[in-house]
Amino acid sequence: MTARKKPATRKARAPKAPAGVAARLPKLAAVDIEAARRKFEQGIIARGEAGPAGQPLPPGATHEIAGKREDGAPLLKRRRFSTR
Amino acid sequence: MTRRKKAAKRAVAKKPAVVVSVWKDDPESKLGLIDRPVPDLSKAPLRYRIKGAAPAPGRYEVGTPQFRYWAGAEPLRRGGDFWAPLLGVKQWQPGPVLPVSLDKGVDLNAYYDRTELAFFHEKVGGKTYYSGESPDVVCHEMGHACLDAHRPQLFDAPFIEAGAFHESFADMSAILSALQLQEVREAVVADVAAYKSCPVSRCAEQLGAAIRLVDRPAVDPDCLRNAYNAFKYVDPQTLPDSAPATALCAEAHSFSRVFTGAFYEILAGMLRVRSKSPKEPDLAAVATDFARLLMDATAAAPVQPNYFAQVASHVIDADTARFAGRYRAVLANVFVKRQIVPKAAVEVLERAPGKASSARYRKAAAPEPPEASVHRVVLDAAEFGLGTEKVLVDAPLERKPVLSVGAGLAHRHGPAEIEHAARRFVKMLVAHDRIDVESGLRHITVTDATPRHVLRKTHVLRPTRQGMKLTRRWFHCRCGLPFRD
Repeated sequence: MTARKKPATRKARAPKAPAGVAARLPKLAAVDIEAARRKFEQGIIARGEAGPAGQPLPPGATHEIAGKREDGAPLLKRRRFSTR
Repeated sequence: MTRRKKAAKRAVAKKPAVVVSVWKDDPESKLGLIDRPVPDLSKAPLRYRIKGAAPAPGRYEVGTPQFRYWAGAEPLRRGGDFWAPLLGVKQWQPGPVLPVSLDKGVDLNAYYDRTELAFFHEKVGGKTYYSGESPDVVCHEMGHACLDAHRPQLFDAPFIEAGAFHESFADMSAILSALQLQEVREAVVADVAAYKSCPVSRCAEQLGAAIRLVDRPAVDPDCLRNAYNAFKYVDPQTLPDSAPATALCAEAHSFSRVFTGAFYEILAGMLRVRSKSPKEPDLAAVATDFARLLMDATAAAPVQPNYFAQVASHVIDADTARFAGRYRAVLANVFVKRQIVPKAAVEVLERAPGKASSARYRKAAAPEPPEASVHRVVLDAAEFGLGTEKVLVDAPLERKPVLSVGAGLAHRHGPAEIEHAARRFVKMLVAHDRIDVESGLRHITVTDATPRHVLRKTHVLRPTRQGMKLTRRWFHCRCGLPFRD
């Protein structure tokens, strides 16, 4: 005598919990990210917050110019954070 | 005087001082001096080493080098002791001991540069100002070092909001570290609860006063930066590079005031959530609660151009996960009012406030490492002799669990670099005859009879509406047979 198999029953799936607030933020496109980087770097240069690499930074500067990008824009690298 | 009394007096005189005299808050905050236990700078995990010889601990006259030494050392220890258990790190980002220069030279500034904390002096209007004497400035720079230990990916992230958040965190560190003193909490609890400007909301009053003498528009009228402000978020892309302190600009310190302003308003709201008539222990509790939320949020928030929104939304989610949404109304209201988080993102909480406290929701909102992202690179097929269409290459930007899109896009991995890497990759595949340009099939059946040149094709160009998408078919192993990925 073989044991009768129980008919397969499908468990009722619990309703999905709502995602957190962070998951509902609008997604950024790659062009937005690139534009944000350019604006950041342009501001650093415009305010004189970048100095030549390998030299002590002038007062108020936070970045050094580590090289050039393919498009000619300066490649910046942060050296420090300052109080103002 | 008896012999016994004389001996007792001698013993007291020889006993090393157990307290040092330091500022409660900024020297110009008017909160005055306080006696504090001698700080142990070698205490793990956040150890310091102040350069130069340490004077004997004691109560020194204001204005003496000995006073300035302990005025700098004490807030370093106090702030480090506040952050250490929250950070959960074993050391600073640069190493186990963070060097400190209390007087690096002439400037009205201070910095953290991954080798040290450095403070300066400068004579202005007949008075010499020492930035390392102000607990606000000391705990601001220490805050940079703490966040760097917690989230090193932020240090060089090439986004205005990432840099501005670092500055905001440093100002919040100054405020939260000040609130570790009971005497300070007692002095400001009523003002914080009433959401007013007060000594702790005013960061670096003295340095601000010195800068005002040489560049009045550069600082707030009552301090360097006041956390009691009404600034609302605007896309920093639309802001000018520079502006007087009365306006926002894209400079990191200026823009940081948006987040710091929200923080101070939230702190007031959290205090009122905790008690209708809050006392200083309530202020201590909400300071720690908010710091915990910040730690959770910064660990989970991806480093993206919209970093303020990322952190703020993760703070709301962290509150749901950690405190069952106790502070949700305050957090959501302030972040939305200040336009840091879009209203649409928090509407789900408003629609189902009951559900939003459930265990399932708390689990769903628990901070998790950010997901990896994909950057699509479009290349000309003709460049590689693959026809006339476009070749689409999907490049994953980040694979490490706590890094994210923005960090992945930091200088070494900008879109230009990603495109360059993708181009080199396709060239390499073509040179090694690895691309199936004929079948368009993602999967093929492999048998013993499958020709070797077919097995060599690790990738296939599949037609899509946008062009030919480069898709990996399998990885090769060294035995010469492929296995599916």
